[in-house]
Amino acid sequence: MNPQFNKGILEMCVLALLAKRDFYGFELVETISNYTDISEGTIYPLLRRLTQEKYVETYLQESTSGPPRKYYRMTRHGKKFTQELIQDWKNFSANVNKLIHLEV
Amino acid sequence: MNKQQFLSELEKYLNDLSAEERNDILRDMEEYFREAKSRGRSEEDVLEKLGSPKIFSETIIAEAKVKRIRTASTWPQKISAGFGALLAILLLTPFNLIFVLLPLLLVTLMIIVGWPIVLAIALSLPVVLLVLFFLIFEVGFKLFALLSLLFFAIGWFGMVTAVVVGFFYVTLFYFKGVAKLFQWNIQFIKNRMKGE
Repeated sequence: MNPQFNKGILEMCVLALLAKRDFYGFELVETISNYTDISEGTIYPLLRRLTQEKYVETYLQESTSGPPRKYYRMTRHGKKFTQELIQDWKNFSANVNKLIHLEV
Repeated sequence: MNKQQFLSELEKYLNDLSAEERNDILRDMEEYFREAKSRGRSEEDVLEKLGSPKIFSETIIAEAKVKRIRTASTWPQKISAGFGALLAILLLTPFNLIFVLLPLLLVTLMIIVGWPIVLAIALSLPVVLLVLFFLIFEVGFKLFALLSLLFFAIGWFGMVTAVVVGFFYVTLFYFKGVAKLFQWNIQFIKNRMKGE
């Protein structure tokens, strides 16, 4: 897909997943890769930026297998932002679908 | 390339970050490789999907530098952080050198040269007022002379205020413009990352 098109959508996908529950980095990348062919190297810098912008925060949690994992948790600020993004996306995709099926 | 090479190259490219930030990123990548391995993914596969450490680090570096502008507390710190970020981004995106660097350099020079001039004009205010004050005794207490001196003083005060405030806004817009420029460039880098 067009990279310009991808980047905003990727951000929304990451936020939409984190709005559901906390994820650790690999888990998040794996989930997104299951549905898209996005380069895995782009998700980590995105997560760092979202953390810097305080949409998400991180914490370390012990795992049963080895050293602790870094989990990403959405902030209240991030929840609000995500809701807005998803609403915009729904409006946008609904209109695009209408347009695709438009009979002129 | 293997995992160790990827990490040591990444460390090299992240040299400009604070040790804390750098170690944090390296720790995250270690975790990433570890988790991938535990899911049965091969190292080669993970490395291939991650892309080159250079490109991987570019966005992180540029964003860290832009963040430094925002978090710097004093203007000199902001300015030096600004130049650092500018340099990092310009080096990453070659087309900037031609289309952006020259105009930006001109405006930057204008601001650097402009502020001392503006300060000189501002400092002229007390001098001018003092001269006008002594002129009052020189011309004697005649109404018209006094009024013209008064208006001259008000006029001078107005001019100085306009110049200082005006140039302050020019500088403010300049910094906002530079911040915008950085944002565009970061988008550019991200898109480039996707492309490669």
